[in-house]
Amino acid sequence: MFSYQKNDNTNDDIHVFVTNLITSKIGKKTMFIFLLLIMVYSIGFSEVNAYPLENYVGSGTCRKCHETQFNEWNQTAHSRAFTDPVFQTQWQAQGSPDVCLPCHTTNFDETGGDYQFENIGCELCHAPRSEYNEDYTPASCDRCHSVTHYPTYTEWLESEHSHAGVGCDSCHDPMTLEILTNDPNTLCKGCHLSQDIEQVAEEHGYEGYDCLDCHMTTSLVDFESGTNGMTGHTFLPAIPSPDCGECHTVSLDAHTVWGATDENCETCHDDVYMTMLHLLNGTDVAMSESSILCEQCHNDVYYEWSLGIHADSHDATLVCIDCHEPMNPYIMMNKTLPPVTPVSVVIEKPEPFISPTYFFIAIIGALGAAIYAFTVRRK
Amino acid sequence: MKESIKRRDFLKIVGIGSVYLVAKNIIPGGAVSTLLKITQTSPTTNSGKRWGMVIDVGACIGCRQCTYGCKEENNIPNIPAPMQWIETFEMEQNEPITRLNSVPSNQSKTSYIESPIHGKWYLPIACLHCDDPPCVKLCPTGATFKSEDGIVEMNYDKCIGCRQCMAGCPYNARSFNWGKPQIPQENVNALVPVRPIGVVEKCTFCQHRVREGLLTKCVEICPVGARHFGDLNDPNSPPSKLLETYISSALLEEMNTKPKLLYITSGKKWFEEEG
Amino acid sequence: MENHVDKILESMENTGQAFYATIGIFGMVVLWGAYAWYTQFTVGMQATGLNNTVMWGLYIATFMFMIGVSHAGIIISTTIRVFKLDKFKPISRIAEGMTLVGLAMAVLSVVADIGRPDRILVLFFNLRIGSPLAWDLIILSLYFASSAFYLLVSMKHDISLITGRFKVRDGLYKILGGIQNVITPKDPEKYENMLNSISIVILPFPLLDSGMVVAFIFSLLGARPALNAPFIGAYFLVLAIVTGIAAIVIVSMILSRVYEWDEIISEEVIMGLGNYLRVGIILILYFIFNQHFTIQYVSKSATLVVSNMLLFGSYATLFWGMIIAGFVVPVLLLILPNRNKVGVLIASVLSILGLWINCVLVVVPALTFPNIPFNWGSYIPSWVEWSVLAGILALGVILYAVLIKLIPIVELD
Repeated sequence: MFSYQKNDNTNDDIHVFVTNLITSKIGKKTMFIFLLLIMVYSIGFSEVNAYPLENYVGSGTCRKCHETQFNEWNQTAHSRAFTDPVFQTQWQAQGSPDVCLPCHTTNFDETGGDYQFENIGCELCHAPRSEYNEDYTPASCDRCHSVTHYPTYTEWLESEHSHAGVGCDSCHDPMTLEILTNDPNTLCKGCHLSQDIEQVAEEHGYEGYDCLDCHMTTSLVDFESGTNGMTGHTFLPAIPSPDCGECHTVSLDAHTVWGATDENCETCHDDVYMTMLHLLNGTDVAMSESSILCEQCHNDVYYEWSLGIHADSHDATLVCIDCHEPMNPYIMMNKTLPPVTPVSVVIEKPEPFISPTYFFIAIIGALGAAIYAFTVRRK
Repeated sequence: MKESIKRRDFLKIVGIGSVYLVAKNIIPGGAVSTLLKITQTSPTTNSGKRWGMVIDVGACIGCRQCTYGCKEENNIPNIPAPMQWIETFEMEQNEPITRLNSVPSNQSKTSYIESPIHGKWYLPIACLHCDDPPCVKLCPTGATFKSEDGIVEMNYDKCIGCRQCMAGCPYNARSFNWGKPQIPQENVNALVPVRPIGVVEKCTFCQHRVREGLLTKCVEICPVGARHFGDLNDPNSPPSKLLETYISSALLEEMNTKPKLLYITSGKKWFEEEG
Repeated sequence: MENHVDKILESMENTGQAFYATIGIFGMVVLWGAYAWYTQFTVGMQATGLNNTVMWGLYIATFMFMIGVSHAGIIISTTIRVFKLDKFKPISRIAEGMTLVGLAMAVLSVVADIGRPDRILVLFFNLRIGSPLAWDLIILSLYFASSAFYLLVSMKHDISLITGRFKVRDGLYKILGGIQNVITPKDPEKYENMLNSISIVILPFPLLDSGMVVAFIFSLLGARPALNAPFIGAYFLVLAIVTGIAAIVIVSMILSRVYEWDEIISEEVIMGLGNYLRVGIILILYFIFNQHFTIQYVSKSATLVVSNMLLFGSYATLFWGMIIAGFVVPVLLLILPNRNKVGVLIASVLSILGLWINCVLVVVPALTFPNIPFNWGSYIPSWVEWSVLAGILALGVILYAVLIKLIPIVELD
């Protein structure tokens, strides 16, 4: 409508009107006031009301002030809860259901089925920016960690830890999510000081076994078959009645009275606290008193031993297993006494007061001199 | 002529007289009949028993408890040099008891530290108390003799230390006190004499125990029951029954010493049987 | 011949510097030996190199050796009287003296060996006749007694000659002369008969002694199969006789040199002895060869190991050194056509050393390698053993030197 053709057409009325308006005095004043109002409005309302309440800002924003925590968070699985290819594969294989998203994304809107940020951002545990509070109290872990395929919280509730006040942060760093000490055995032993468990841990500590090998059994969820996941936070040994032979390679040569099965082990050993023994009637016996266990069957030898006529039995602190292998008692665990006279024994021989060699050299010299004197010289 | 007859008579008298004096002094009175016999009698030993021992080398684990028990019981000293009456040998599978070989002095069959080891067997040797003992036949003073109940005993007061018995024993079962044995007073067993310097000693079948009805110390202390002691005249004693059941062998049978300590291999084995 | 008598009696008259020097030097050795024996007596037999496996060593070997030396007298007296070879008469009494001194040294060696020498009387009062050591004691006593008796009887003429010649020793000669007059017949022929009969009685002693009882100490040890052999008796007999011959050659040559008796103890005598020595050493070599050849061909392992060790093993240097230097070289020296007294002397010296080593090699290896799987033993003689043996040898020299001064050591014919 308006054309900006440069022509000398002074019959352009609106153009003339606007120009006259702007350039007139009144026009200038009005424009000035109008400009001022715009500036005030933009400054005043820009910070405070820039975002509406209930709004999430994203972890990148938090980073501006909380760089350290952001870096810690960035190493964790929380920061990849959505973008991790494992999740993506599984999620997409199931048709990308929305039910996963409240835990795997930040600010998931159930009504709209939409999420604001991917991954578990700062604001999913800590409140959204709009609810910014001073003490950063995060939400309880059970908000996400109690689903059937990641039932850590549920398991923990079952375990004794929940009754003993041992919470998530007793073992996990809440920010880095890592275990507080590198060595799970040290972590467990920090509270579990009882002798028995020490002994079991010691017995199983070397050769690569530690507490969590038995007391934390994890398994991945299988969505297809509907198998739930396990994170082992019940801390119960996974296998309720273990097959001893899986870990223990003891051959019960002589003690196969009831067959070479696990029941054989449990005749004497407790199946949970393996270093606790018990008699056939169930009475508990400590390892240091193991002799009465042997007496149940080997009562003749025990009787001889009590009379002091069974080998070194006048040493009252000895128990059967000090000499006999417990599993194969015919064999004495190398209680062989040392040889009486080692081959290289040297008996102290008396030394003469002067060296015999010199003495006899002197005698022979004297003889030679005498022979010389009395035979050669006589001539 | 008279002179020469006188001289001849004189020489005869002197000759016969000196032979008589020598014979009277050298040959103790009353013992002429036992001169060539080897057995000496005494009331305590005339019990009608014949002591014997059987060792089961299949069961022996070579732990040397018998050696040390014997040392404790019989006052066997460690000063000036450690001695033993029982010596245990570590033998190979291919060394049956009937064919035993010597080993060079830089190796040793008796200095093993760990036992039992699979594939080896253990042979404890002490005085075998032979019925025809070469040591007794060789002794010039009768310090060693065989008593009626079968024990070859030692009389330490008569021993002059000539070591002829040691040279004659095919089993090297005898030891000599090369120095004066010293035993701490608290370890001395009052029933057994502490030997003086310069005499020969050996296993006595614990005569101070067996004549009172006990067992020898080595038999008692053996933790695997490889040793059995008893009266061979009694068919129910452990050695008699074992000798009936199992094949026994003596060491060096061809020596004709007729030992009373015999070896069997049977009974308990300390290693696992195949299958 | 008078000058011979004077010359011989020279040995008795002068106790000059040489005599005292001999007594002095060998006396020092005797004292040293006594000190060593005292050490052994107080500390026990652990002062020696003996142990439970090798329980006999140098003492028993030297005992065997000295018995051999002591056969000198019998050999010579037998040769003179039974075989009627009168040329050996000059050395007859030298040999007799060696018998007595040799037996004394043998007894001392054995007494040094036993663990309780303070119990010698126990041995005498409790002698068990069934034991080889008892037979040894009896035979050696009889041997000593008969040799002494023969010496006493045969000296009658010489004692009568020297009675009155010496002042201090005259009492002894009077006593001896008195005994001799009682024992021996006055008639010279009967006297000669008596001497002949005595020497026939003494004749079997080498057989009884070396050939039997000394051999029995070893050959009756069933535990030592290397020694438990029938030939040991004959072997020891030959060894002993050769030792005796070699010893008497050495002693005669020494005396002949010291007292300048070259005409009395003539070349003939020494060469005659050398002939016997040659035959004897060849016999010894025959015995040794037979023994080892038989064992090496086929034998029990316990016997074989002893032979192997002697021929090829730990005792090989000693064994072959003994064979070559102690037996083969003397035989060669004695075969040489132009040999003389010196050659015989050298052969005797070498062979007597070889014979002593042979005695050691008979005793020690048989004990070192026992019958059953006992660890092989080892034996290194200690200073005590060497010192005691040196002391015994020195005592023998001193006794012999004193004997020379007491009786005419060569027959005064």
